[in-house]
Amino acid sequence: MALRSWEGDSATWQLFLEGNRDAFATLYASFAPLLYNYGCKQCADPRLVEDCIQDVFEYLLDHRTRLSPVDNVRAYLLKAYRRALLRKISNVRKNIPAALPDDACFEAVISPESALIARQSNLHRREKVKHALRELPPRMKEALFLRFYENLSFDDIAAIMDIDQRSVYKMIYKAFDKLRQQLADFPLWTLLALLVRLPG
Amino acid sequence: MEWKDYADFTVADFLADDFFMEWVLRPNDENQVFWQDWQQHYPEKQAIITEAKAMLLSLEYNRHNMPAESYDRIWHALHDKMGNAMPETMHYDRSHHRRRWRKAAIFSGVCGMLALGAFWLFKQQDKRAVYTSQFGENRRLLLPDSSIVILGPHSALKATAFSRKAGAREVWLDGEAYFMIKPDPHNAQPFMVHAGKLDIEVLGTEFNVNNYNGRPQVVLHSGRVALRDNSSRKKERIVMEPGELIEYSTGNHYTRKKVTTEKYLAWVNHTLVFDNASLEEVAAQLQNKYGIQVLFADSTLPREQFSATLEQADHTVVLKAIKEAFGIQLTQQDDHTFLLSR
Repeated sequence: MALRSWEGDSATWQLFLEGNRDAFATLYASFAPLLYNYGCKQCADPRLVEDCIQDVFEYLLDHRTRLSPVDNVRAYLLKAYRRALLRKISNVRKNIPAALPDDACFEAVISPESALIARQSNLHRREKVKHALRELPPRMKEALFLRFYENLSFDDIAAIMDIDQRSVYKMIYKAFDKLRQQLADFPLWTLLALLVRLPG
Repeated sequence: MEWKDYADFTVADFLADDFFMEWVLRPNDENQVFWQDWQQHYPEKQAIITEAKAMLLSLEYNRHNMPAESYDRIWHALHDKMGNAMPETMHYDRSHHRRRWRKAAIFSGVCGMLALGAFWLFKQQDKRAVYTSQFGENRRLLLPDSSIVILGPHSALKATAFSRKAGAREVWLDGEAYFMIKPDPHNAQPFMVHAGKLDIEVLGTEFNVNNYNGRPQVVLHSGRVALRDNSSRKKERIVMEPGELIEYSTGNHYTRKKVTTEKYLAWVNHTLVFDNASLEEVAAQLQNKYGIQVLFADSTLPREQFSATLEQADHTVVLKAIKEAFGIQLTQQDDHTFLLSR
């Protein structure tokens, strides 16, 4: 349940900047699992994922007096974390330039919660959708993840991924376009149309 | 937001639109009204809307859960570091040493050095960390001795510094919490939980304490605890067995029964369990945990019995379930007030 609002996070951040330990503990409790989830999608090595979480929070402790207030703490931490992770990954594989590994990261799956889809569509169809999602370039998958899983704005995604806002918009736009093309040859969307959960 | 802005939208345009996404993923009264009106006005766009919705709803990501050992290990490292990095401005209950500081200030006229020394000493002794949670929020706390506490919504836990010198580990609870206490091998540092008038002596164990309404209730999941009512003259010590519930009422009375402990611990995973609870009791819980006031238009409603197990629940889920179970009306009056009527 997303009861925690962004304003609440930035108030906690402010308390932390003022030296409140409880606020730091709250930041850790709120964001360590989120960074872990994000990290595991970027990198298959949990040790690396965990080391970077520690690095980011240690950085906060070390630089507390020099940090400024932030509006969206989640976006800020995701960005810091992504940078730390890319640095670690490139250190580990010295000869490979700093980029996300291409294999299997940000794999979106068909929602297990849309049980109707599972029940009514056969295995072949589900595989096809999965495959189409897997075919997307990793950065597109990452942008989709940040947008639809973390619910971040185009601005925040742009900051996290170090690209401009228009590129994010284009990337998400293209991702969906590609999905549609890939799936055009069978009536998945007519099927889904029947299954859309009613809001509320 | 104007209606016509969306008239030329393609599926991809809708998918990139914040307001559309909000309606599909987090519907509320405002966006619901807008999009229902819009769809009525542009029936020819139905197919596009349906497709965009289907795509959004079919996207889901596997969640990687952080292992508890990793969470604790990193927190330990950070906790040690925090001692050096954030030394002076800790969030402690300072009322005591402020009073002492005033005394110290008088002395300082006589002997400044002595006063400084005294201040330093008091500060060492009176370290009490305060943890609080907001309405609707569960917080996982790692105490300095590695004990874990899940603090329920709108609750507060004060803890002493747990230093070796202090001897006892003591915490004070308002609200509700689930304790997983690390046993002390040499029994040199007993763990005490104070909940209102109740003192709970812990002997290495897991248990739940609910103290929202001033009638402390303890459910022992495993291990052993001993209770003592510090307002009673007899100071009778009651040793609980696993699977038992003890609830104190006003006065010195308590009830003791065998229960399925899981039911009382489900809140830790954001699951709310109601077992033949009256709607009045449900309303009191929503008030305590979410700051929500529930009003009843009909005087027979508060006594209606409600049973449900609701996962990932907050007050909106509970109220919706009640509405559907009894086929009654639910009206939101303001941010924090809901009216139930037949």
